[in-house]
Amino acid sequence: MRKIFFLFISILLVYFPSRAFAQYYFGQNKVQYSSFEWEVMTTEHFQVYFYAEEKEIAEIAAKIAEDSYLYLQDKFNYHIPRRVPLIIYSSPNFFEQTNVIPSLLPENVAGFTEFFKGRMVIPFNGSYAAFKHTIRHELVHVFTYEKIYSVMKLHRRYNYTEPPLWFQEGLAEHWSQNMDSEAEMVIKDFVISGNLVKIEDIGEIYGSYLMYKEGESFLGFLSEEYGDDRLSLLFENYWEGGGFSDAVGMTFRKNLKELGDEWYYHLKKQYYPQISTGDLPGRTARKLTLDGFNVKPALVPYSFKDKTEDWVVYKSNKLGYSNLSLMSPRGEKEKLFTLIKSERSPQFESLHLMESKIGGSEDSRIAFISKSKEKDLLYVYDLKKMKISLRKGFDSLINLSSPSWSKDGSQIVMTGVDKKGYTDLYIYQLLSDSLVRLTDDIYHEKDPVWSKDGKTIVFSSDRTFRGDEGYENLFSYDLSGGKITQLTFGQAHDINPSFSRDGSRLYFASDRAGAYDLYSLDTSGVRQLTHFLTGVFDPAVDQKNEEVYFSGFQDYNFQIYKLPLTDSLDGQVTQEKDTTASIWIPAKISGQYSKGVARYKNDYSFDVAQSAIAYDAVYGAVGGLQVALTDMLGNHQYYFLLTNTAESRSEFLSSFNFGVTYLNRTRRLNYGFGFYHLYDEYYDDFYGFYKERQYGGLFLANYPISKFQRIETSFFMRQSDRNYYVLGYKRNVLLSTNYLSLIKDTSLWDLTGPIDGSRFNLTVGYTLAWNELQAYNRLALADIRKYFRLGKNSCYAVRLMGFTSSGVEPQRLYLGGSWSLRGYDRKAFYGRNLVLISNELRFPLIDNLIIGFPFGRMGFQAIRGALFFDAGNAWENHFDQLYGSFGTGFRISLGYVVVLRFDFAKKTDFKTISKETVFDFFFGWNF
Amino acid sequence: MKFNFESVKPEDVETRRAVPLLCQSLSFIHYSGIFKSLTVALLFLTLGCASTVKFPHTNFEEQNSDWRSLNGLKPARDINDFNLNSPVKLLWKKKVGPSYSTPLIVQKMVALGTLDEKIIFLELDTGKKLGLVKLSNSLSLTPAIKDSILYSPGGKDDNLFALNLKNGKSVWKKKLRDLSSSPITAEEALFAGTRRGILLGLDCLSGAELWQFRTGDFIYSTPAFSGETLYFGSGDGKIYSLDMKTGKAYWNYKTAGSIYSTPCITDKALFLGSADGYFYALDRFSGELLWKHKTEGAIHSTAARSRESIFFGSNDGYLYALSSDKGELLWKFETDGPIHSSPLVIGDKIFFGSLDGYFYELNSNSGELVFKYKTGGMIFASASFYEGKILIPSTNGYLYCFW
Repeated sequence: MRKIFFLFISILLVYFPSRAFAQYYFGQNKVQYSSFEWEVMTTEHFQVYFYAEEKEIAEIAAKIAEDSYLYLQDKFNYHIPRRVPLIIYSSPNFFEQTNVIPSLLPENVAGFTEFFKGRMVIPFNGSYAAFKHTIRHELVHVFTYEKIYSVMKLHRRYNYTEPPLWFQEGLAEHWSQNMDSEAEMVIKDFVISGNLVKIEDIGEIYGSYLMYKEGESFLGFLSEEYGDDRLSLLFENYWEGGGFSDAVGMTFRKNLKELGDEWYYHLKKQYYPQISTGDLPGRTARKLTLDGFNVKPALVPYSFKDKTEDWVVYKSNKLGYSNLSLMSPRGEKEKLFTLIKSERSPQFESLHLMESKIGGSEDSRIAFISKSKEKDLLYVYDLKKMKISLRKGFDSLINLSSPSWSKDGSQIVMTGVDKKGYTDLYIYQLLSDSLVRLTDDIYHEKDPVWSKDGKTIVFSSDRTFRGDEGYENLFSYDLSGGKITQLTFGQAHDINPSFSRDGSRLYFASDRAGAYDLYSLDTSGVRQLTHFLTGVFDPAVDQKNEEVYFSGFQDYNFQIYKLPLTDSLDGQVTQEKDTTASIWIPAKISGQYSKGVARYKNDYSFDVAQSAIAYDAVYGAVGGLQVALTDMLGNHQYYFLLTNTAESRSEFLSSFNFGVTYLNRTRRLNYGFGFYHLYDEYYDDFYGFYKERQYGGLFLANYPISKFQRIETSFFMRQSDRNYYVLGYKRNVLLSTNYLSLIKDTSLWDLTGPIDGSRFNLTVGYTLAWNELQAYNRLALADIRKYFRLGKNSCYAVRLMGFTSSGVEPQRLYLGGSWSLRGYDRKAFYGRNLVLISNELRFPLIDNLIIGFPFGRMGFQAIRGALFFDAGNAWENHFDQLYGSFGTGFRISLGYVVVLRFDFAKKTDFKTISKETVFDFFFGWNF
Repeated sequence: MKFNFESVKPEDVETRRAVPLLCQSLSFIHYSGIFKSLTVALLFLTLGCASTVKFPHTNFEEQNSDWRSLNGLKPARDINDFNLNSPVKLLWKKKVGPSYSTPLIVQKMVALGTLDEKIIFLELDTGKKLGLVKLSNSLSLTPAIKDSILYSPGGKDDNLFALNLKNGKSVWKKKLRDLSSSPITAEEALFAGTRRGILLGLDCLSGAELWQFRTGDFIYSTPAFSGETLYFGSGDGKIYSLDMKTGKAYWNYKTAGSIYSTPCITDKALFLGSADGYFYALDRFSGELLWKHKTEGAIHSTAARSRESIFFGSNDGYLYALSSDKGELLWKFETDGPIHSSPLVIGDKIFFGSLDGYFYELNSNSGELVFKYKTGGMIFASASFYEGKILIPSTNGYLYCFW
């Protein structure tokens, strides 16, 4: 289940230029906790970038990449005429620190391809099969991009659109793996519920996991029905006609709708008969949770109202953030405690929702894993005291997963990932505070559980026949001698083992019959306990051995269910033990393809200008041509600005605006420096029009305290010559400016803006005129925003903002308009002091509105309503009064690109209310 | 003085009938100097006077021979006598536009279809540009030339057109938008397949339809023929044998993948690869399987043969040499890209290109590399040969001449 919805969402990146790191107003941080000594391995078709500790993983990656290349050059009829950069990280936690792209990488991103330099960036998550899948998936993207570009260029078609995302991702999945049980589970769930999105409408689920899987299923069907080479032919035909749809028609001689109908009919024929022998979890099992994602149930004794019984501890994500929750064995309706709120603080950055199991001890303690800054930590939560009793990290381990208690509660077994990228079994002994490593190899150990007699550890592993293709069986580790014994056999995914309380039976989930079902293993053999249509996972059996709790998939959600354990559930399964099958050994790149290893050098080449450097200490970023040169890893970045503001030929040479800035992102402390020359005309309500020439240098630094908090500083030293030609005087002065900011951001966004969490920006600044030795500008800013969640799509948002500036040339701000004080003009108030209080109730109006037009359908993902009340003023020297407004509005999201804002406001001076209603239309995110 | 004829699109040819004869005959030629014009005019006048136009690459003079297949993959026995340089050397290269087509050689002149919407004519010995026929669409197929008539898709509205090269006049045009296999002529007929899976038999002189044969899917495979029998493959995976006169099927053989290549025919057998990765040898008369050989990629490359061996490329990047009687692997040679190019066998040498951009010369007995040349693009096309010169285009826009 580790993979479900989260394993493999490979992103196709679109860059949105943003401001330099030292000038972000809010935003969370990508923290470079570690510095790596990079090396480069050159192979026949790749440049593999790796650091010394992960050399073995890199050699394996190189071999996978070369094999995948040969496979895909056949599929695409194409040869990539350059070596593809492949950047490898030995752990997802290291991968999240990559500077190849500036955006934060969510935990669910298993790898990505960046198209500007054609870089593939991929972490090793412990599973060889998943690694192979990810590398091949991303390489399909590289081939797709290059093949289409080549075909179009050869046929002189330079204006074209790429194939839709569902096709690109579906193809990347289809040509990188066989459709697995998890993908089948998702598609089957939608077919049986009748909710499968038709291929012609698939754009409406843009970017979702379902889109990937529908694309994969559809293309798998086309491949089976028409031949895999037909997909290759589609690329050859891409230049003819007007785009993707024409290429499909030309290749298949049917349109997308006709092909989609064939596919849907095929799926119904395949899945409908299964209803006669299987059920959806909600049909036969008792559902204990209500909505959202609820997974990884574990049972732990808990005393409530003087009654001690097994309660269910589990992970849930109902509203966007993940929590660790505890509920009554009769369901969350009866009683629910939220023990840990994650994704809002550096202590609990991520509970690894779908990855890591929870361990419940006999003495009411809960062991779980959370990411905290760079590494995962082991936490113990004591239910008797209702608080954290242990927070433990290990120097040698980056990722941790699935802790399980020994019966006496003195030891915890778990899996850990070291810097080499190996996932192995470890025991943490609480009393001696020591860590013992049990295994040390490339095989992927997961979900370890301690046997009740304390002698063995049972775990799931790919150290089995065809494990390199992803198959996993159950194994036991003998703690007395270290011997590993295989317990289950066959080409299946046997996962999530869990012992009955008396230790006589082992329960686990497996897809050995097609879908994931619950099984048991004891001395009599393997028995299949359930026959669900979709998939169930993570069995946990209560103390009396009467009921089994598990998580089940239905209606595109996971819920916690329970079933009575009756004899009728038992069905014998024959397990063929293939003792002759040998264990796989990962192949590494061989001499034939390896062209040697060299130290990494900063070879710079053009890149997307990821940041717009702020050269102007007062006005921030300056427009103009921004060009970036970066190294392959994105650690060193040069930005060049060039523009000209001349109004006459004579001014041409003196009116060049240029700037060069270097940014260093190799360490946690990011810094940059540069120099610039600006000459432009400005307007200020206070001074009128004036011209200013400024030239000097700048220094920027940014230290992230955590993902959520950072300190920023910037320093400008410049000569500033102003000509106030309206007022009729000039001033030339050497200025230095310092800014210092403390910024926090834990906000969670929906389609129209933040909906949960909080954020603030506290900034002070000081500008000194060196020739006069006096303060030209002092400023202080506090902008604090808090979002009180009221429901899935509703919240109450508050903003408090104060600003003051003084000195010879104080900075002045405008106030008014849709983004600040609503109901007033955008420049209604102006001054060196400002105060603003905003209150807004945000609530949903319409989701997924699709309107049919003669030219096609148009979808609006979210239309949200707002009730607001604002108060504020901006003034120069004397505060007179607060001005207020209140009203209502609605926001239309155009798919994470832009939000349209419509406001209807009435103004108030807190004595009277204006008769007129002010209507304002603007765009932009909610505050 | 400078002639400045505009290049002429085939559909416009008829509108220029008033142009004097010399100009008419040159009207599709694009050139820049008086001497060039005169040379070309003389060349065409010579061609026009010749009783038989010699097309060494698709040798229509040898009407009774049985080796004609796609683009005349000339078997070694016919060109053994040429004293070929080995290793070959680059004689010239000329920017002509990216091309998938096989060059046609008409005595001292080369005709090549390009992806930038033209058929270009060059001087064989020097690579000098002689002229061009502008097309209305990108030409990824190889045109056919027979008796000085050029047959090519890519006319206005994607018509298939016949153009008299001697006078530049349009002979006929036919609305045929979805032509997907290179046209080929035999006797007085022209054969071409369509995306809809129809193989058409047309009258060379009038373009009138003689018959049509429907298959289950697209036809990218250019037909080969022997005597009065046509052989070709289809996207439905089948290899068909038809009566050339009536379009009636003799037999078909089903493979597990689409067919893109053209059959290579011998006295008794037919050789052809499929997208299922297998290379098949069938009995030419019964369609029965003689043997098949597995490769690790789809096969797009048309096979060529020597006396006892058969050679073809695969998308797995290898050029294979099999014994033609049993299909046993004699050797295989690895390139760094899929091989779509059909090998050209001359004596004990084999020439072909790969999508890795290299042009290769191998020893056909051992598979050893004799020579390779990097073009900088991909080579989809097959090489042509005439009087010791080997021509092959690349997608980098150049046509290369080795000798």
